Amino acid sequence: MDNFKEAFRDEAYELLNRLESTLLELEANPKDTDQIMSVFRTMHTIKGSAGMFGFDHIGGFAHTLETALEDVKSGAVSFSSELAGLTLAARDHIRELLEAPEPPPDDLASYSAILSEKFLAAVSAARPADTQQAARKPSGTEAPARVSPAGGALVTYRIHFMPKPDIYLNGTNPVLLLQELSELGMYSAVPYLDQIPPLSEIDPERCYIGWFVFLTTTSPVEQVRDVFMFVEDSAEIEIQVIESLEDAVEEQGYKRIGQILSERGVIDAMMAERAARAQRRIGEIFVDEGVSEADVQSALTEQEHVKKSRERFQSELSSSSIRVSSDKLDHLVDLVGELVTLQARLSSTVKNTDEPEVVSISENLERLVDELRDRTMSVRMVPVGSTFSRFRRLVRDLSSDMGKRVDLVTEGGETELDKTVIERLNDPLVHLVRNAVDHGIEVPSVRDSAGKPKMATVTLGARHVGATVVISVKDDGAGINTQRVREKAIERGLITGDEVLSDEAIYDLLFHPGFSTAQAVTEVSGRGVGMDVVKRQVEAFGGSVRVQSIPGQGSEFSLVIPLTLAIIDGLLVRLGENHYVFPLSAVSECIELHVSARQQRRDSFISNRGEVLPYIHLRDVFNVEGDRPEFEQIVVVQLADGPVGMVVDAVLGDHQTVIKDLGRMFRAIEGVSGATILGDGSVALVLDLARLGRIAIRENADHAPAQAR
Amino acid sequence: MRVVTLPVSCTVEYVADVRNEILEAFQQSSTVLLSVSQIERVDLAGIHLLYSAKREAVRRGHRLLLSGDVPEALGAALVTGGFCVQVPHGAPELEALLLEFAGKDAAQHDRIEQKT
Repeated sequence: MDNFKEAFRDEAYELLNRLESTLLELEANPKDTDQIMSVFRTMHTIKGSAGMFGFDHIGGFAHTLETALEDVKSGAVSFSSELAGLTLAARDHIRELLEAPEPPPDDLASYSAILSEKFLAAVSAARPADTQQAARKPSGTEAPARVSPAGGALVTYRIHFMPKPDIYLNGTNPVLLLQELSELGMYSAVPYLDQIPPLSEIDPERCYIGWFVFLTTTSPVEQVRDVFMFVEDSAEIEIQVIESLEDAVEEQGYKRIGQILSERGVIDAMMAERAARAQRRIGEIFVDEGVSEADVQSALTEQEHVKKSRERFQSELSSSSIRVSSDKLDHLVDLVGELVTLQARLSSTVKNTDEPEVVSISENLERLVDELRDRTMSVRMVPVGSTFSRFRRLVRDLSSDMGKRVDLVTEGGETELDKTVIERLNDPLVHLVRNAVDHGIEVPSVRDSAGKPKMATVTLGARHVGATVVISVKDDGAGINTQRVREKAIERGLITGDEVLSDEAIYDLLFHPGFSTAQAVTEVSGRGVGMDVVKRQVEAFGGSVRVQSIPGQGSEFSLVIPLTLAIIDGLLVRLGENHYVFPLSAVSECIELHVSARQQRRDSFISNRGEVLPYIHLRDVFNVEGDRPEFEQIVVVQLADGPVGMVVDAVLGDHQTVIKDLGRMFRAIEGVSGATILGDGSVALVLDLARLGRIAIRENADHAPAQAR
Repeated sequence: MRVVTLPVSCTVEYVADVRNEILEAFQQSSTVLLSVSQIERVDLAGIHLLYSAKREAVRRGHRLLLSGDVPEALGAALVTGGFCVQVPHGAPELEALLLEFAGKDAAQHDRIEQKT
């Protein structure tokens, strides 16, 4: 049962998340009936499943909301932003209730009552005056009906529906009732036709048909009975539960035909026993014994239905997504990492043998391991969109608190990132989005006088750049006031009054611990906690933060995030005696650099296909000693700012790289993001290209003025 | 052969008239063709009529044939009522459905005869 409760919680969280985005869309477009129906349905589902799993309080609360929303659904009341706010609050409340024990503590329970009251008040206030009195009073927090079968999930019902001959008289069309039943779940019907008289004897206004219906559904028995609500007097209705699928899924066979028939009272147990022992087709025996063919047929259909419903249930169990704890995934990735390393060793050992069979085995294994690696990594990839959608609520709440009007636009939500990266991205993004709304966006009056639309836009975007994903938070607000940042920095003693700083250097000041330019400390920001934390968190998983800003037009904060943290395709290079690895996806080409070219030019630019390419000598960066080879290689990598060349001694080839953490001792080393074990057991360092790129730009900045001089 | 076109509304309000029309046709000819393609609305009384007409034909030793495309409403009602598993594609399939029903009917009938 606890498993079911857990599943209910999971489902409810998903529903609530969807509800949130629907509500936000609805707020922008209150007339959208599809969305209104969707809100209504969500409440209905929550109510239903809550009742089923014993969350009576949540069920009752959702029931009140559903009733209150009835008028919105019918169109009598429009979906005001007040109602939207209340529904959002109710959504949050249900979330809290889900985490609380059942029955909930007094404070939560009384808050349910308060919210329900507010809801009813808001709806009745919004109702046009003339319908106010006619409107029925919703019945408070009445608990929804509990389900009869224990566990309450998928159940197969056997419904015996025998309309009385005069059923047509009250305007009922039995086919429509069956139609309604069929909409509840998986459905099979067997009509009993043997009572239909020939045309000359028929009274065409009487009903001669009865049914056995088999229905596999999650609907409670009350809901099934409700279908027949208006025909209870003009039909015989018998509803039985024949099995609960969760219990039955382990069972192999279903009841025999004889068992089914004797259960229904068509035959006695002795006859069933006799038939079971006979060696003929069972159906024939019963028909011979005078059992009507329709009875046998319907027993057969029952067997068939049960079999199919089990199959479908099982395939749903296996085909739909499952939840796996990320620990298990991490463990799997670790193992794959070990396998990749071992494979690399095997490949390098095999290179020295001349046994074609071993070589072939190794190559096949390599192919498999490659695929295994890709599949395993892709399991951990999640679109960032799910994270983005959470920010709609944040932006909405923040902007309404601050009297600003802000629209959140998301771009590239389908971009996939490693799940662990996404989890760690959340906090930094919250900071950045809050900052954008609080610091970046101006109040509507200021925007208006600046000739900008009153509705501001915050854009949350994701895109691939080489081996990285860039997540950006962009606003169309006032931009960063470099003068103010400067003054503040001088005030804090971070810089001296006569220091000349580039814009980039000024932006860097924002990331200094304890720095804030907000004039008033609000709940949202201005407490000086934030940007430094953002930077630390992002750098902790190998990312970096970049800032761009244009006064009067807005700012953009970009987080440059490595695609994955565990295994990459690498390009193995040599510097002196040591090996290094470039993330292959960032590499665009390799160019030869002859000693003569090196000696001629003192600056670090070369012309590559008509473009100026800045480059750095990795030998210098890593203080590699010894003589340089006559021909060096420039590895050209694509960075967010453009291509940069990195000079190495030799390019050795591609390498499956399992990135290992360097450990605390070496974390401060600039330009290296991890290490990997090579096939021969030695260690190669994985290059942190973003950092190296910055070094290259810095060096070039040093060189460029020299050139000008 | 006589042709009876089933009406647009093959529902309880109209079935009495249709029944009379079919009975009349059976009296005049040993082969009656029901055209179903006009049907737009059908309820259980309409479906009854088809089965009842088949049973009548079997008893008289007459032939009951069907013609025309099976309209959506009729197909849906037949499936919902469990009369068939899939929507019948055309008149021949519908005919087969009735034949199966009448066949069982005849078999059952025979057995009961034998016993008594």
